[in-house]
Amino acid sequence: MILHPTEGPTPIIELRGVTKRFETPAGTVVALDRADLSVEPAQLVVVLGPSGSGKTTLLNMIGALDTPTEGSIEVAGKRVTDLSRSQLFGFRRQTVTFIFQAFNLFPELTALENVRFGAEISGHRSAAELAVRMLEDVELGDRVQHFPHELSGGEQQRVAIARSLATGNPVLLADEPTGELDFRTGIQILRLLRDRTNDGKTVVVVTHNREISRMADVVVELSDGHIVSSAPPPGGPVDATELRW
Amino acid sequence: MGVRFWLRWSWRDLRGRLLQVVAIATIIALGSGIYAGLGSTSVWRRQALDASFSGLAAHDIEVSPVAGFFVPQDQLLGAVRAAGGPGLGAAEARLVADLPVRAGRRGQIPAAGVVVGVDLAQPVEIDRWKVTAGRSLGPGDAQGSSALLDEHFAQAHHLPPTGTIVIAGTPVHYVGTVLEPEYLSTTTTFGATIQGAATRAVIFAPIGLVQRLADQPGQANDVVARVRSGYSVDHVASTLSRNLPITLPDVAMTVAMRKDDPITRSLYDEISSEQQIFDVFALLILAGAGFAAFNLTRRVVESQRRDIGIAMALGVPPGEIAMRPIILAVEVAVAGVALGVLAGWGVGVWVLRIIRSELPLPIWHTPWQGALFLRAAALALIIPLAGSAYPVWRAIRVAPTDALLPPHLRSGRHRGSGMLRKIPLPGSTMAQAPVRRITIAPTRSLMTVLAIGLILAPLLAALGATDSATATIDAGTRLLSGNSADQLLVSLTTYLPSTAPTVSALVDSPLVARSALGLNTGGYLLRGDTTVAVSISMVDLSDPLVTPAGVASKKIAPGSIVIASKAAADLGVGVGGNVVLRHPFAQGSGYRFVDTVAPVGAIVNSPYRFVAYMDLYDEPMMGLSGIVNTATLVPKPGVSMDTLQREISSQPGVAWALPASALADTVRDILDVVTGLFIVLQIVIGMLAFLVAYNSTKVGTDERAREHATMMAFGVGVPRVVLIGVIESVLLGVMGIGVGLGVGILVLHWVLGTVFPAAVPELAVLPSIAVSSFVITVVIGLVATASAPTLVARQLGRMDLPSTLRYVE
Repeated sequence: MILHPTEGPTPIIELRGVTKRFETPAGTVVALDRADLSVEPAQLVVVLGPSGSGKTTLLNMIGALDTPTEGSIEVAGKRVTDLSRSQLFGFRRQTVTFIFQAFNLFPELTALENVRFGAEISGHRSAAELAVRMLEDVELGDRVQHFPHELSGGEQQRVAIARSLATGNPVLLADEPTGELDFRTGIQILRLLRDRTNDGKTVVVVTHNREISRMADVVVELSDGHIVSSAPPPGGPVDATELRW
Repeated sequence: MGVRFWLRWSWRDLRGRLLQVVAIATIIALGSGIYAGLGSTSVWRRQALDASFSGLAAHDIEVSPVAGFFVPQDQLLGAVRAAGGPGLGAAEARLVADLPVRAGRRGQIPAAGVVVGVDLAQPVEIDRWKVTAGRSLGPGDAQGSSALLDEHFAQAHHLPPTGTIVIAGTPVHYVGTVLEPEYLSTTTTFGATIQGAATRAVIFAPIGLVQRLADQPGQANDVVARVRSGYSVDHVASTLSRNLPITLPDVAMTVAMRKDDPITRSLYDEISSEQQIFDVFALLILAGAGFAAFNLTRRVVESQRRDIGIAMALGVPPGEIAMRPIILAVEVAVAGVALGVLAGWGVGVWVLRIIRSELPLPIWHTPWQGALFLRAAALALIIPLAGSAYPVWRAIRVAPTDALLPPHLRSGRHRGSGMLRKIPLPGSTMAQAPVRRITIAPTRSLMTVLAIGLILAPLLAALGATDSATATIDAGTRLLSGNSADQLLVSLTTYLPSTAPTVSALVDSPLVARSALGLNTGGYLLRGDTTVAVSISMVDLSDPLVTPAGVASKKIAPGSIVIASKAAADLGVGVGGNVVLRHPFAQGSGYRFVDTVAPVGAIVNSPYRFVAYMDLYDEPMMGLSGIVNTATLVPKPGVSMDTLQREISSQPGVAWALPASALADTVRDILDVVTGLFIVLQIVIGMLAFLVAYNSTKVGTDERAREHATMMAFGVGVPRVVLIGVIESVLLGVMGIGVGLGVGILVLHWVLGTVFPAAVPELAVLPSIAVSSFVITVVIGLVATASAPTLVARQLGRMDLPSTLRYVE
């Protein structure tokens, strides 16, 4: 099944017949089965599904952390499936960026330095200034010299978002970004992500929380490795403040 | 939960950390292996000496007239047999002559020859020789002119098993190389010099040939004898001493028991003294290995803290919680014991090969040293258990809430964060990463630095010990030949008046520019409870040619003695103080020892304690007025040392004539065994340093798996991640090297200040570390620490990024 959520601009993410199989002692597990997907630029896409449905596998393959067994993936005009190992590293530096459920900040770097890392790795000049600006954008201008262990979970995730934004890469991939956070903090984070689409970034959020899908431009539903639907939420996207869980 | 549950879990831990467990076990194994391996060699050496002496029927008693006297062969043997009583068994007369020797294809190797004439008419029953190459001599050679060459000398100069040597100007064909029990020690002292394998050639030949070469037809000067079983050696020796003045009234005879022979004793003593030194190094390595094991166990247990927290939260008793890390420690211990036995065996074989090549003995016994290996195995068991005890105890005492926290949120994990905030670091965040990693966890970094430092310290100390020995030899050489580089030291075959034609022929030789005569004799210095054996050189103390630097310019009062600084320190005496000099006094055809109080006229900075000088004009106190037995000759300009040496060696009455420089080299040969064994230590320590660095890196890589995965998710390549690890490891290595150098210097001074003086009292070893030793230590430390992280590159390259990144604490 080929689903085209929208007609119009060239898709920034395009998957064609992507299959991912894992060989296990118990046999072959098909994590993703002939998935086709097109995502337009500056959209907030929420990938929804229960545990084991293949949503993280999908995200990892878009982010070139994993490679498909079959099919092709194109992101920002680059055919990921044709890239060499070293080109994949370059792709991750220049095209995509990650926000993790467990934040994955560097413990020996301050908030400012964690964000600076994102800027430096993508080759930005004036990385320090950019990092300060990014932290101010996520309302952590007063916490720049704090180490991760001195920050709350929400603050750590905001630092992680600032780090991703500092790369300047067009595609943000967020895996359960609110999974470790309470409701209020989770809403804060989602608003931040939504705001990035206004800046032209494409944000793909993986979650099992159906409520989050209400704020998406496109909701992709997965079940047993199959994309079962890909469409805007009923009634269109709502503001993050309207979410409840 | 039963033991099987914990065993199963620990088995999984073991599989997950197999490389680390093997690495820790190898560290312990190398430590205990060095201990067992070096320990075994001393037992083997002692047993080999025992077996060599008994297997070759070493004599029990040796009877000889005073130096320079000869007795008709049959008369000497008959007198000894008659004096020995029923306890005296086999006895054989020999002629032992000191004669100059030249060896090598062109006779280019001068040596002091000890030519032993043996009666081959009957099979040799005492002090038999073991043929190492070529053939032996038998009854068919009794009237012939073939000889056997001592293996030590042949080996020192790589001489073939058969060939020709020139003894006192006469070419003699030798048909084989041998080892003989009386000459197993290659070291003898003569005045201020030491002779070793390279300068002393022992030659065994038919007695008739030696009588011709020494110009002593029909004469002998030595009887070796065995004591019948059931009789005491002491009893037979005292019977001989009592009866010899009756059976041989005209000649003063000396009766010596082999068990009291200082050279034989020194063979055994040097084993003990060298073992003391190696024990110190083995224990230092074990201590370093123990600390490394402790440090790594601590980090492994630390990585299990969250599991421990979960178990605590579930109410598992602390004793059971401790089982998992303790079982891991037991697994390390068992692996350490298994590998330790292998390492001990390997080190033992290696060391044995060095010793056998440097110290050839006729018979070697190298049985498995079970008790020693058991002791080493016990150490290998105790070290990891002791190393894990504190971390385990600490882990089960932590608050469950703290144990359950993700590592980066636990209390005390970021003690260095305050420091990091204050210190501005240059460069990008990637460039700063190594320094930040070290600083954020100062305790962990400090422990790694100490582990590397404590491993490198014994290496520098071992290298420094070799350097110090070399520096000591050099100092001794300078003292000996400082006044003239071209000196020919000549020893006469007997005591002669200084006006004797033999002596005149030396000093008046047309090849000699300058000469000085002297008298060398043995003696003792006594003060309080301390006795120091000395070799007294009686020379003209105003002649700079034969006196140590600085002494000739001093006015030394008559009857005064010049002693070495080491002897002065041991006796607690300074210039002007008195010592009792026990010296020989000529009486009739022999001599006796008498005590004379002698003031210390000067102290020379000689590393050899046995060096002592008196003025030739004090000879009357020895009852030897105008008598000499040595000469120091300087060639005329244009006359080579070789020409002079050849000319003087051919003179009658000359026992040996050797350049001073040749004697200095022999001391280095003596240190070859110690130097060879230190090379083993260096290699083992290099391996240990690498293992410590590897283990530290491996644990660090596991601990930082998510950080590395995050870097790679952001597009940082594996080589760059490895480079960060290399820089971090090298920085820790540099600090570890600093600690190692500091501790190594302290250890060296301690070893030279306490262990060496007790083990080798004759030598005042000058602490010295060569630049090359510093370089070797630094290079080994740097190579080990820089190369270790590259081994985890494969692990990083194969990392499952999605799984690592998704892991939720």
